[in-house]
Amino acid sequence: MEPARKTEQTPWEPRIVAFLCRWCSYAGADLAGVSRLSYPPTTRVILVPCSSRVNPYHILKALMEGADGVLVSGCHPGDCHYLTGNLLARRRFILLKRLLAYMGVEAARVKFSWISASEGEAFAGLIREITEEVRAVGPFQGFLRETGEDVYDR
Amino acid sequence: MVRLKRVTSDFLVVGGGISGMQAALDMVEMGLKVVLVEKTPSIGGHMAQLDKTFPTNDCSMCILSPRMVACGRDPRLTILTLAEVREVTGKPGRYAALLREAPRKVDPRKCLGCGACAKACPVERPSAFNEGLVKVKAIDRPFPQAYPNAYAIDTAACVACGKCVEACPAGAIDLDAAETFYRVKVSGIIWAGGYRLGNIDALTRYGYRRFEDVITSLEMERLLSSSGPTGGKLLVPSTGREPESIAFLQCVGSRDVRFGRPYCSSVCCTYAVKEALLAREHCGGPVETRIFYMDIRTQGKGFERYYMRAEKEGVQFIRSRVVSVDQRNGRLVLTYSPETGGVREAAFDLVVLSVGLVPRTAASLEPALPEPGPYGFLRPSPERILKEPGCLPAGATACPRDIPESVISASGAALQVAPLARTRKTRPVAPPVTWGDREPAAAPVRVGVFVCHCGTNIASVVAVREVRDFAAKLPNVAYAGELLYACSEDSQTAIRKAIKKHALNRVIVASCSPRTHAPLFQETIHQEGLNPALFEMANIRDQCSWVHGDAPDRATEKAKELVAMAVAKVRTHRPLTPQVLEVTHKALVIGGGLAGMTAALGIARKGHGVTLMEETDRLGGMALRHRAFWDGRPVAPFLSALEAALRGNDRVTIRTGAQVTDIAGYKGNFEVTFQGTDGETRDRFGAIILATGALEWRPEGLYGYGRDDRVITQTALNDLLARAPERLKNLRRVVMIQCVGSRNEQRPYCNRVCCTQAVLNALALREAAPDAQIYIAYRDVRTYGLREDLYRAARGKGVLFVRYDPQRPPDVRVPDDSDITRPITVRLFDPILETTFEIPAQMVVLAAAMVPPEGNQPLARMAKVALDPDGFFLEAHAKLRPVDCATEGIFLAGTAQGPKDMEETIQQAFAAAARACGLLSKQTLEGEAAVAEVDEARCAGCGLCEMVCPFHAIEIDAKKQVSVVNPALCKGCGACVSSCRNGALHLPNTDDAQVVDMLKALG
Repeated sequence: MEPARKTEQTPWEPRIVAFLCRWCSYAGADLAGVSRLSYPPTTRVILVPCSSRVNPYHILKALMEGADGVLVSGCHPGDCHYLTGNLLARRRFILLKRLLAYMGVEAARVKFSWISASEGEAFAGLIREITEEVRAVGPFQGFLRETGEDVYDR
Repeated sequence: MVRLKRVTSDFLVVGGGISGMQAALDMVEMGLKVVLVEKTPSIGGHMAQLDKTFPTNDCSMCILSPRMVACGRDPRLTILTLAEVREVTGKPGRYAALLREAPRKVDPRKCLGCGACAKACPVERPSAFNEGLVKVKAIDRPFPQAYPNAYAIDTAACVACGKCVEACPAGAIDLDAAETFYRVKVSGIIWAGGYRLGNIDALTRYGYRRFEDVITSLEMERLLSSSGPTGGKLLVPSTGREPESIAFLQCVGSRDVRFGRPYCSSVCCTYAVKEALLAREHCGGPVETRIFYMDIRTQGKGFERYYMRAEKEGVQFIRSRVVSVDQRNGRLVLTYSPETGGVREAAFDLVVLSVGLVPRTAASLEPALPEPGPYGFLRPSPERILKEPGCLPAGATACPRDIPESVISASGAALQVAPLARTRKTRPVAPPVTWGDREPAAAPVRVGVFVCHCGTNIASVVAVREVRDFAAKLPNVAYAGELLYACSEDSQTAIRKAIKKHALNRVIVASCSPRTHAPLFQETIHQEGLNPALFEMANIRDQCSWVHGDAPDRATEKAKELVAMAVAKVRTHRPLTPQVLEVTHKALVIGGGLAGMTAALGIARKGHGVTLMEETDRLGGMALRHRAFWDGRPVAPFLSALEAALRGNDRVTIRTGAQVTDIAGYKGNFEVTFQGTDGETRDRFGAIILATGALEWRPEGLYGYGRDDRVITQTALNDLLARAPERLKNLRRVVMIQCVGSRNEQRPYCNRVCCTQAVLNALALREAAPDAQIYIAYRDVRTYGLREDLYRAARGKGVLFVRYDPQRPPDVRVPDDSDITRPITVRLFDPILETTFEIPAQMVVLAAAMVPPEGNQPLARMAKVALDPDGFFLEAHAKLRPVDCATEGIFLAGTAQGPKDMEETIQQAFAAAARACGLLSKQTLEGEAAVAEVDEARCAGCGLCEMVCPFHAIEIDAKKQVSVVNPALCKGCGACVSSCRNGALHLPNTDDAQVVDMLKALG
């Protein structure tokens, strides 16, 4: 997808890919819906079993495919359905953060959070917040150095 | 017209709270049929109302809701809501119960949960779920996650105007619906009626109902809850502003003889700590939180750390008696008397009353139930435990209990009555979704997309037709259609017809959440011969139409993209079949103490083989050193009856003098190696119970222990009282010191049992040494629950309780020359009198901590289970899986899991046996369908995946130097897949390539 295409038709709106874990954050997003909490339609959710399923590559690839921001959200520490997956995800994320900074990606574009199944309001608030933060840094302009190829075989 | 239905089942469970649900679920796990009766419109009970649960601050609803869904889905479990028991006759094995089900007036099978009826209803009433803090309509759904997830009419409020009938799009409402009676024949009954909140007189005494800002702890839960009346904002009712100061008043209607409730409610201290912590979290500004208490009783596992954390975070604890609550200048003024005497005042914005628990009683069940005990609690006698009872209480009806204790008692009760069941053989019941291998040819891929209107829930925001037309043009889409309600019965028929007509081999439903609805659609496509894994959902309601009502165009765009992503993903889905695991129908119990013996008997009675393994040459463990249960019942006769029952049961194999040296395998199929007197042997088991107990810590060097024989532990005093009480006859002064080696930095846990044990021993010593003055030096007296009666009795008999501060512990000096004619000098600082006084004592008794045996560590490694920071075994979930280990097939009983007394040990042992029997009752077990796979050609054998796997499901094959996944252990989280540097690991249907396909399908 090319980000430029959209801007021709309508004013630019941030596009955010959200990786949500099945057990907590996806349920929190559902609860926001059940509670009819309004938030901007900027996210595209990808359901994953656990935040630890999210590979840093997925985050980079999302940006390469046209996302302006990426959210990864898992269970709160101690609540992980798979015991420690969320902590693994956090560890990977810390490393990725540094890499992204090195590649010239603004910190606001990629966010990690804990949202529990009961935190509908927190989820809606988070999406509002991220949307504004990504809006502030504008459309994603690509990495300083293009990486290109898929690293996975089909 | 009154209807009468006849039902035959195995068991009747009365009460649909967490206890009743747990008992019912454990029974169906054991292959039995259950009728569950709940008097409100939804199961869930009090736990559904709680915001968070202590001590982990886990969201209550999040952990409860899956249990409710599990109850609703099991075909062996019949749930009757708005129903109550009218009459019970018969005896164990043959009960007949008459049930009355009040008319709901809404057919839950037809109700779509759209809410049109409530919108139309003109009548308001206070919301029971929100403790009356808000109003709801006469027709309403109790709470969003309710089961049955349908609306119900409150007949007391309804004016029968018929507006809801007109508004309902599904024709689900019948205002003329009548009550139904059921005549139920069962073998046994579990009474899980739960509790109600304490005495209203006790509440009004502290300003409740007089002042708006004096609220109960349960109202506080609702104010804290994000699903509550204020959306999780803590607001003072009268001002609507955040409070700057909150007071929590403990023991309101508990530990209070004035209101006929002298017992301790057991849970209020810890929930007050929780509510204080949450209040601090919720409030934007600084908030003062003070807890006014008599003793802080945080005796449960992990609770002491929770208490310490609250202190550190600034919650203030004030040992005092509150005299009154008044209102002055718009603020609530507390008059209280602190420990040091005098009267003080303090003003607050909000006062929370920590209300005690009162057991619910059921007159209609009385013919079957055990004799009511003190204060209406139903405590089954030991005879009932050893015989085969037909009717048992569970949860807070038996004594004041928190959630894990209730769950344990419910599982335990389920197991104890289970042998009476009519269903002798396990009924093979098909799981809700069966994963067959009836597969159409894999290629070419033909996707069917079904876009749901959900009445107007989706269609009023998202242009459904546009989404369908968009979907029809996507690659591989062979069919795209619309459905009014995708979940309705006629839609299932439509989906099946479309699969056949268009030869679909992949299906997308664009509607609501896969969490709630995927199993339904997967079952549907499977009926048409498609593997359930060839399915995907696009959530265009909960995560689209419901949250983007103000931007319909962009919501439609989003819906399209979500569908495109789902199509892109499902294209490469492949059929999955979960592993079928065989089950060895035999259990191993490690540890032959009270816990192990009880668990083994429970399993054998249920009809499974069991091996009871004990390291020493004698059964009984620490229980051999105890004189009495906390209520005074002697231990020895119970223990010998238990041993006789075990030895007389041919399903039980007892192996003494043996040790476990290796555990291999997984749930259903463990292979255990023993080292015994007869050398090394091996055996297979389906389940393992760890009941290795705990030891009394030897407080060498503390308070003169080890230097003077007259300084002994409570266990040693127990021995003396049992075997040589005459040696105690001439004692003049005895000092007991509490919390020796516990509640400190090294062991930051409460030992739970020692306050009761000290009081019990003090009472016995009163008899053995009538002239002795007994002092108990304590930090908090933690005679929780009904044990409070003992504390009161001891004080009545002149036992002196002197509090000590851990900063100024008792000073014990033993004579240098070990001259036992000279007294031991104990110096105690009394914080009430603010003086130190000296006691020349002939005996000092230390309440030494319980510590885990050293053998726990190697055993934990062998069984692949975790230990908690104190070295006890760690349960899978502190609240709802208190006897399960995270590793499936392994269960916990007794003090191996943490300090507890013998009564609690027995309960937990039965609970562990219940969980083990649930597994052993099955012919086969089903593993996860989506498990990690290794591409050996790419694997470098680096071992990173082995390291990150939380379930120890991956090992490096020593010969081939590649990773090997054990599909029986893998839970499909994908942590390994993302850790692999070579891309050698794959998680089918959530693989990297599929994630990338979804990203490419964006806009």
